[in-house]
Amino acid sequence: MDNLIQTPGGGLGGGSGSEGSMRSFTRTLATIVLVLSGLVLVGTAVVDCFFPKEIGRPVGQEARDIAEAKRNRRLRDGSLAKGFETRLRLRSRVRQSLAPYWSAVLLKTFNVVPSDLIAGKEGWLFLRDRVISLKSTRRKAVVFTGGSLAAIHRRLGIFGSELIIMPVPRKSVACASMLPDGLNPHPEFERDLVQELRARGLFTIDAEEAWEGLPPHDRYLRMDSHWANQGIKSLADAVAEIRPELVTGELELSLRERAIREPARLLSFAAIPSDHPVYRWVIGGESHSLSFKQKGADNAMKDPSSNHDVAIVGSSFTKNFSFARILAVRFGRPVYPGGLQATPFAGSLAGFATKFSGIPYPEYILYEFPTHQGIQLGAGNGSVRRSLGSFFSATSDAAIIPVPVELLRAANVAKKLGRGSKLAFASGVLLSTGDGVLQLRIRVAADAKSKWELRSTGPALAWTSGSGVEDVVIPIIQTEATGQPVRLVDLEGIGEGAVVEVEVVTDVDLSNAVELPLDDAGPNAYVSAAHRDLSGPNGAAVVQWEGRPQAIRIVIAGVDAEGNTKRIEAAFAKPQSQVALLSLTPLGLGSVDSIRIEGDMGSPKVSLASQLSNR
Amino acid sequence: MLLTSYVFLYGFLPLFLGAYYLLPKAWRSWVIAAASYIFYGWWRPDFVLLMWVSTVVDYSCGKGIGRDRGRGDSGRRFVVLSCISNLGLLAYFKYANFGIESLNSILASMGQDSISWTAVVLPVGISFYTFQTLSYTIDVFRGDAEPASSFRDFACYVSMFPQLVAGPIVRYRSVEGQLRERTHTLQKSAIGVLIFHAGMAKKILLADTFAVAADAGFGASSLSTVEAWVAALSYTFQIYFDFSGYSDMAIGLGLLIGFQFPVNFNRPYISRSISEFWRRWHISLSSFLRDYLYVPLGGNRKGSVRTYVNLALTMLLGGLWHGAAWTFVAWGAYQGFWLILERLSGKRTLLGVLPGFAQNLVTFVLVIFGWVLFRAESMGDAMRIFGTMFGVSDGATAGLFAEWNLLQSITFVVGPLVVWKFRTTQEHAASPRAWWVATVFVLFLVSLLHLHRADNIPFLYFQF
Repeated sequence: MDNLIQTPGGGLGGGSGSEGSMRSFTRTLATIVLVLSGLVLVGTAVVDCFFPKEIGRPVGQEARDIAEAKRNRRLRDGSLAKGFETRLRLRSRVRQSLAPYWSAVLLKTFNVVPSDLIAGKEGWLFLRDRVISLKSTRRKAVVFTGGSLAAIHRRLGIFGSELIIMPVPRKSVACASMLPDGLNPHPEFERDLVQELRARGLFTIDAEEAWEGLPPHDRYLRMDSHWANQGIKSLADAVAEIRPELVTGELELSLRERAIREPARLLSFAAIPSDHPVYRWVIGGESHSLSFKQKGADNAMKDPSSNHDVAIVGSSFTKNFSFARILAVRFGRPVYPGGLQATPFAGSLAGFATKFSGIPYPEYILYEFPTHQGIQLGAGNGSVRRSLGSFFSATSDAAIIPVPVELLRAANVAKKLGRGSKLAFASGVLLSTGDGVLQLRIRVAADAKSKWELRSTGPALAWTSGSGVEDVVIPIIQTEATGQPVRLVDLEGIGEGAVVEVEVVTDVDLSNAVELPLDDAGPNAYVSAAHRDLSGPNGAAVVQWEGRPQAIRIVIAGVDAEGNTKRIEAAFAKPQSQVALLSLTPLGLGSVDSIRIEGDMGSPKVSLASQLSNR
Repeated sequence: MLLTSYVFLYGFLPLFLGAYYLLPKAWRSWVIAAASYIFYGWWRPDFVLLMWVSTVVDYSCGKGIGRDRGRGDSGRRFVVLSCISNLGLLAYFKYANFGIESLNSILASMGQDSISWTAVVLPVGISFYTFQTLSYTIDVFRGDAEPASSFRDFACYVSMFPQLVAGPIVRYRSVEGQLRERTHTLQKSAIGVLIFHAGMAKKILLADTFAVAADAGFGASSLSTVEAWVAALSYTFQIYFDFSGYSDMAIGLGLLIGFQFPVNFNRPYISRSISEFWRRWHISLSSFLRDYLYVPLGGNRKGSVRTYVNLALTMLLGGLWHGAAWTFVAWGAYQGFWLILERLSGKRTLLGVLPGFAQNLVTFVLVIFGWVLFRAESMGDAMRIFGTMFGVSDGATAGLFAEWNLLQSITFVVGPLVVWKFRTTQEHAASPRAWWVATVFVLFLVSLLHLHRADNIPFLYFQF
């Protein structure tokens, strides 16, 4: 045997020679291994070739592999071959049948999971990207989410709806005690987010407060990425307690509980699909599905045309976990169920806006979103950009009014665009608080569909414009009130002959703005100290001036409806236009106490305008 | 194509072996060559052209040397041509990016504009096959090998897929006879399969598990002292099991088609000196560097100073062969430093005064430090990790142990056992015991299951 192979220290032998050093039993065993190995490989190949299995619902790495395989199919760089390998591997019947057993053994025995997951204590599973994120992304996420929701709040305000926001903390934060010791999910993100939303005057219900005292298993499901029934009920109780006007008790509704296997969708990330026999062995626990005892209650709630006063719009947390039913029981009134699963941040709001097109919006729109969606927004996720754009595109019939062209110094434009070209408003032209008080009405006249993106310092908003002439009204969302540039980008090229018209508009009633007296307050400083109560939630202060000042600083001081002191500040360096709009949303239904304007601007004017309404 | 990929194991390998054994014997070398081109071109078809260029040039050079020698000439011009073409390919594809980046950083420090440059993609395995073809022309020139009589055999030698992309570096003269005539027996195939299985288990079950802590540690911005040691130790075991696993798979596949490839690893971590380590680690490379670089430079024949210079130069270039980065140069210099120091000590080993286990321990620690240089992304990272290993830490941890699992703990026990207590795969395979055969087969099945579940992690030496 020695001369069949080279051994360390031995010479390189020929290919033939004595083969007698292997005992006959071992020789037989080795031969059996050879045959069995061949059978395993060839058998798998034959089964997978002639009896492939459809790929189920791919998640995690598998989903990314499939997306990559679809995206790139070039022979030269190997992507075609890699895509072929992916398909072959994922369609393998042998793999789909056997791998779950091995995954289950690894999970149960060694606590080993694929890299998409983190195995916590007592069998708890967490999605890795919802535990670990970059500090810079989290910081951006807080500001982007705040800006986006402020703009959404403004838009819904035009339709007469109040937005009540319910960010659902990540599982890793809500159930941090079940994470492996030493992992920090950075819970300050959730705290900062709630603080940011409240500072912007957006009514926010903090689930962390509602869940105080609840053990982890009552907050989230052990092997799922969603919440547990008790957590949902506690949040519903908190909403009813904080906003008692939502509770009318006009309907006697109650829920029926049916025992089900505990949802464990995260196991599919561990290559254990729910239809595989080993799934039951891994999970063990049970949960309950909820349905109305009253027949027909669901159907009545689902109809958008039945004049709902309250709607819950949200993610799979709402859609798949009876959140609307629980709220309806708690409020004693119908609650329109606007949950949409597998949608990114604002995706469900876009879906809601489409369903309610031409129908009066409910007075209260409760918006649930899991906070990891905010992190996706901060990371610049493409699908979030599209869903945000879709929402504003779907609500483009909101009332708006053009900002006078002379104040903007001819910034309104109509232009023919070439392929991939951009249309930019330079720094200092569009001056606002960057929360949607200033918007662009964009009219595209083209023979074919076109894809667009509005970019500034806030999250980019993407939408698709249909063929023919189509108008959309897209808000300008920026991270700070400094008048940064805004660019409209044609993503794919709209072809020859297409025309784009862009008009700067606002959702506040400029024509009925009430001018406030201004007093000199030293060199290049003016103050309006008149106390004004605000009549509506989304008004704006409109500041106008003459000439070309080097810089302008505006500070509005006031109190919100709860009596909290608030300051709204803006600083514009080298302003090009002669008007700035500062949203008063942070003050809600409170009051403006003073407005201070600084800058070499001749005789400025300041006025307060209330929000336009579609109602 | 990866040796552990689905398409290789369940598609390419069965089809190739089927074609190899079913087609006429005379076609077998062509079958190997054709299959190897598919194997190599699977991800980048255009890179097959490079291999063809290398094959044609070196085959012609070998023939040319033979012709020149017939005319009483030395054939030196063909060796020069072969060196220029092989080293030229290597220089362009492997070192051009590094050269331009280094030049640009010098230009930037002088306030000059940088040179614009489109990065060159490194063809997998180019370091291995260019060395193989180079060794062929040099051996023919030296008279150590006859010029290849058949283009088919030479093409088969250059392209042979089992060891094509990550070694061992097979010299033409060692397989010359086998290219013409080789035996195929059931027993040889059985042993080949066992070695292949053992290599696969090393890679999938051990190397890839060690990779978790190694990647997390070397990728972290800050580590605790214990984490730094665990990361360095993990990489030390990962690279051994990864590379020796690949070598085993290559040797096993070679046996399946009748070839004997040289042993590439001989329990390197039991070494009691760095000199011994280099006699046991990547043996085909160290012997190549010895025979084609160190000895031609003069070896130890031109006085002690030249010997040290030659040693240093050989190890520096050996380091650079692994990759175009200063960390590899530093790693080569580090190895050269210890080799010189051991030689300067006048004994076979610098650590000779210590008991055997202590010699092994000190050598192992020195090897670990070497791997830190080898694995670090930059010299700065390497220095930071060294600092942390010696207690200079800001106290922040990478959370390396937060997700530590039982499988990693088991691997940390089994890995060292395999390294220090087990014989090499080839030694086991030379006189196999029933328990070893059975264990290897079970581990193969487990590896297949593991592969079904997990992503494929490429072999580390693919990047070299």
